[in-house]
Amino acid sequence: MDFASLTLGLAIIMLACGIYLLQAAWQSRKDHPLHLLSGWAMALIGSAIFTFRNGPEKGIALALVAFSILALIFLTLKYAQSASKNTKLGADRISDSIAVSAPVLVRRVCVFFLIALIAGLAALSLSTGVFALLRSFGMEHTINLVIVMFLFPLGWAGLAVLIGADKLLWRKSLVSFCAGALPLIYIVLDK
Amino acid sequence: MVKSIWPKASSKRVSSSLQAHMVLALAAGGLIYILALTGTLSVFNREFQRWEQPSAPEMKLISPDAAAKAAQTVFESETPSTTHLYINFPTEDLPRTVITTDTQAFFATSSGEVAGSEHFPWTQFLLDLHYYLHLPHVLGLTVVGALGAILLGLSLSGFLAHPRIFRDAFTFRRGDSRVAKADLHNRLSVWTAPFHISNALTGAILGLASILAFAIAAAEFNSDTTKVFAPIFGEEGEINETQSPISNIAKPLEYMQEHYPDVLPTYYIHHDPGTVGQHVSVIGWHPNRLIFGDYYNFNSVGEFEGKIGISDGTLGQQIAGSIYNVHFGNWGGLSVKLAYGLFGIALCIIIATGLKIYFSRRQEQGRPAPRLESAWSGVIWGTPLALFLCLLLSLAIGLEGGLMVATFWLGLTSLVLTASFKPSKNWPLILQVALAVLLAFVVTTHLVLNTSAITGTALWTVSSVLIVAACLLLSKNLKGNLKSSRAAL
Repeated sequence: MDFASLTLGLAIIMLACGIYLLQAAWQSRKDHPLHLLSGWAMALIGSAIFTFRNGPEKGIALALVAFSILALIFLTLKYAQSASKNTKLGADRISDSIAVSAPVLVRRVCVFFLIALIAGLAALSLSTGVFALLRSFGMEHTINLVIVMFLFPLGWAGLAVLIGADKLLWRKSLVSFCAGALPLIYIVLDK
Repeated sequence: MVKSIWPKASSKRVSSSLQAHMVLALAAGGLIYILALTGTLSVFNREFQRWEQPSAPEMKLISPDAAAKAAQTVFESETPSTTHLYINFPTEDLPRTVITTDTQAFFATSSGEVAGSEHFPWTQFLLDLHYYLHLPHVLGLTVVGALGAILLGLSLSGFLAHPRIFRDAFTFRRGDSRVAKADLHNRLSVWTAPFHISNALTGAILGLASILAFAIAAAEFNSDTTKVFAPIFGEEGEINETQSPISNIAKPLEYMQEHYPDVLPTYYIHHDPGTVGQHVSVIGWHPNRLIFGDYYNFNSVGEFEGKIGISDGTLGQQIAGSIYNVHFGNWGGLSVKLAYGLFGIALCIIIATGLKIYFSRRQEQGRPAPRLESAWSGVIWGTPLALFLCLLLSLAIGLEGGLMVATFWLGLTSLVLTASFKPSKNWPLILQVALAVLLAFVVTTHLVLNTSAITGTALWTVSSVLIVAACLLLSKNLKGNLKSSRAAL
């Protein structure tokens, strides 16, 4: 067995043991700090071996892939061991029982519009504003650009969650409007 | 009773997060599912390309002279001259050399002969569906990017709505109850989170990059969008269209072999060939990195001018250069592609079960939505059915381009509408059996049309997977039918 295969095998064994210990700790009703600590430690050692084999970026990525696959294998085993639990049949399916009223429909269209368009525009404005702000502080261009490339979708996702979670239409509209308008004001004033 | 070590989550936070999760899923679930499925298939786009043309010449390596000879032949056959001349070098997953111009693409043999044109209409259709949803390019990219952002929102709200994420990390019950569906949905979501969060984020970044560049350029660079990305990826040189002989194509490739033996050239780009302003970029792949490669630039006489710095430049360049590969999973060979395939299938199951849980809950609450539920089954199984119907028609009657796009969208819409109007039918069963039969037809038709390549790996890798998928679908449904017949008896 060559050195590369040996380290790969060792890394996978470490990750598998780590997952086993973590599941033992998480499934117990009692506190198991030793299991938890050694589980995470083994997972970290496994990741470190991957990093040693494949370099920092590809090694960490490979460790994450291996960790997820091993966890899925554990889950498949759990699934195979568990007893089947079927649902009781409900009423016969004939038609939609509750009609949607016009105000509810209008409200849903508004929420969709807020998530799909307004949140996106607000996140775009926010990202552009942050780019302008960091540029004015002398931030290096490529780092600045990468920051806002990540911020734009994350900002959109965050606003979409806020809009979906809030029950008051006026409040979610106001939050989205402010998130977009404030950076826009900054950009205009900055020019 | 032993006191739990787990902190209690705020019930208000859980219920509002669940509300957000449901709203986002209802708003965009169908389109996100189409993107997840086409994305999973797109991971293997090179294998599909090989499969669509199994007789094309293949090689592990091509010499600079042979590649240059083929590129020169293609360039000289073009009237008017192309503005860009490309060479795709053979890689592990696509061991072919392809010479591309603005309008055409040809295969090259290992000795540098031109050997027929490249043509993979279904794979191109699949990629266009995943990149643009078949919309005009900037609009399509933006819509796809927006769906990526909403998928991120779904992940975020899902985690916030899950009060016992660690404690339940290995709880997995079987059956068709809502609890079992929720277990499947939650466990797959948690354990494939590194994949679906990074993929949603990188997909959204790629999709939204164009409009972000427009906005930044408008705010900071007098609407000059080239100034936004040029510091990362470099920019085109000055154009001088005065005629000149095309520069030596082999020279930059030989330079790469001599000075960068550890870097594998994957792509050669000859800008404005046959003009005074011509210049060359070679994309070199760096092993053990996530970046797609670095640009090695050469001037009009083929002399090395330097590289852009994606491999060793600023941190921003290196991160930006990794986004594409992290999204498409082509950074670690076949094993990583197979893992991405597995995680992609998991994401499709997460999306499908998510709305199934919603419909089950509605039914339990006494307000069932059978038409919507049936339409959702139409989306889940109708999408692969419509995709592979397009593949069959492409193989059998040469369907391609706009007609293929129309067939897919009209086919899928009809299936979804039919399912919603006839909710009493067992649509998952009907569509799964139809998909299995269709896959068998696809493999048979492909085999009949490509008997000359019957011994090649290019043919059997994809065909075998399709046959296995068809068998799994049939056996699952036959088993299900047998069980229900026994129960009825």
